[in-house]
Amino acid sequence: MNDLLLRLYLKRYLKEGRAYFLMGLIMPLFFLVFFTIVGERTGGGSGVLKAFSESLGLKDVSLYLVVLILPYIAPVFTVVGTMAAPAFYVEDKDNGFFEFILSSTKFSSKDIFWAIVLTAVIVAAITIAVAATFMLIVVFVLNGGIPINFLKEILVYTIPISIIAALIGTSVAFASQALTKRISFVNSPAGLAPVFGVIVVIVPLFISVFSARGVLGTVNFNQLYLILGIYVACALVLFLIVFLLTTMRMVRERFLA
Amino acid sequence: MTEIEAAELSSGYYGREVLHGISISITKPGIYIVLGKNGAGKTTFFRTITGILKPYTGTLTIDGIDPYYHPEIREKCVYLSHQAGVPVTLDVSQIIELFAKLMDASEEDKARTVKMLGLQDLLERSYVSLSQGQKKRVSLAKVLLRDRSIYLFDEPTTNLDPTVASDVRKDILNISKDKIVLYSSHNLYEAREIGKQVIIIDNGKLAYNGDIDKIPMGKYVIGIRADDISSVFPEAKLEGRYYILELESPDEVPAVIRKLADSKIKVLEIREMSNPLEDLLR
Repeated sequence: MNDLLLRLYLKRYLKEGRAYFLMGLIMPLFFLVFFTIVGERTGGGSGVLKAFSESLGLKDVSLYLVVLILPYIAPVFTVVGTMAAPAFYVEDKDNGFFEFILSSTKFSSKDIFWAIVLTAVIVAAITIAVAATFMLIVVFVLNGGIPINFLKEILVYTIPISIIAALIGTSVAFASQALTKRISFVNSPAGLAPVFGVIVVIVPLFISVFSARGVLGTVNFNQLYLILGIYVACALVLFLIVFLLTTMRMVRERFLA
Repeated sequence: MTEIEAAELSSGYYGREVLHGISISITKPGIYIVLGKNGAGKTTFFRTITGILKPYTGTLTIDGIDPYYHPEIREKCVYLSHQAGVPVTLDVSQIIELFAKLMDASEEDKARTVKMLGLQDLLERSYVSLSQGQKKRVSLAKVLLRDRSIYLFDEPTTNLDPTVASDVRKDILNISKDKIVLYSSHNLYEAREIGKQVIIIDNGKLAYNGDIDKIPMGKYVIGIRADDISSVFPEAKLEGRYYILELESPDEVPAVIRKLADSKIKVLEIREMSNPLEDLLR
């Protein structure tokens, strides 16, 4: 992978993809503020939610929404923040830029693929790092400390799944564009491919909400982290499968308009 | 000296063969016009030479090396496709800078190219704001940034007005000394204007490879749907709704239009009635 193409796409992301990037940055911060205010107004919830907050180690249980929901939905915004990356692929393919690169420079189709995928990963890393930092600061300031379970949630789940979901979303976009036959709304330029990245991060949200409501029985954090850890590992395997399929099918003619 | 050698070459897209058994050897520098109708396989031929497409059967080598498997040999070539081939959202200066990096071009190379193509006043403009001719010049810049042994131009004057097309042809002629230049066109007259050697591809097969002077040139025939033009062009014959006019080449068309306009004749349509290339391939 040559860093020249990576730098090109990062620069373009800041210029052309900044609307997505800003959305990825701002949305978790908005929900952080929103959940903090709602949590305070509702006085820390009641019943299962209050018990959950206390068992998580929160002294200020009004932060329960921040701790219970935000670590699970923050990756959704991260994926949204990276959605311009597949758009670059479609745009540059259609206007013949890749054709020039492949015909007249030493760069290969894999260089192009990695430059765009890594751009998505770097954007995802920045957005989730900002979101996680603010979440930790708010919880630290309002709670007088960071509960270890909350920290684990972020480290075990929120950060890795954000990166993996961005990888999956971008790779699926590549794979779907590589299909020989164009299928409307699937591998068309405005297709559904990046949604796969969103689906990956939405599933645990429901699992966590159900578990918090006691559907899965009494919350056992070790069990929850085990489930989340396994889920992250499965998502990683899914990415590797998508990656293998993409690279296998990535013959140069698929980079032509 | 660089050589291109194709032996029984077949290639295409997604398993569908477009080129069929082409054998050709290009060993001397010069401009080689690749002629063919739309869809004949000219672009596929170029994409195979530059190693984008993998030959299905036969071989394609540059200096004895297969460009599909050896990316380093592709750095001997530079290819201008009929598309923009640039990230269209950038400014002209950013585009020049980007391609200078991609092509390992120096500051002197950049300055020379900008001057040669007269891009000085366009540097701060965004690509999308440029006219078609200006866009083509920016697109051409990336090809001229570095000295290469093989230049491939795929219909570089398509959609350009005659003046800009002529300028582009001059730029291409300037770089042709000591280089192999492959220039695709579907216009026999344009071919005659810029090259001596011609390679004709018809339905994916090599139809002719040789001197352009040996190709018989017919008349260029246009049809004019208009009020009576016999006062201006007495030689024109009325066939159906069209007055048929035989010209030596398409270059005479603007003069015909001017003459009709000066005579205040209402013209509804002017169309090409026959193309010598099509007659040749019939």
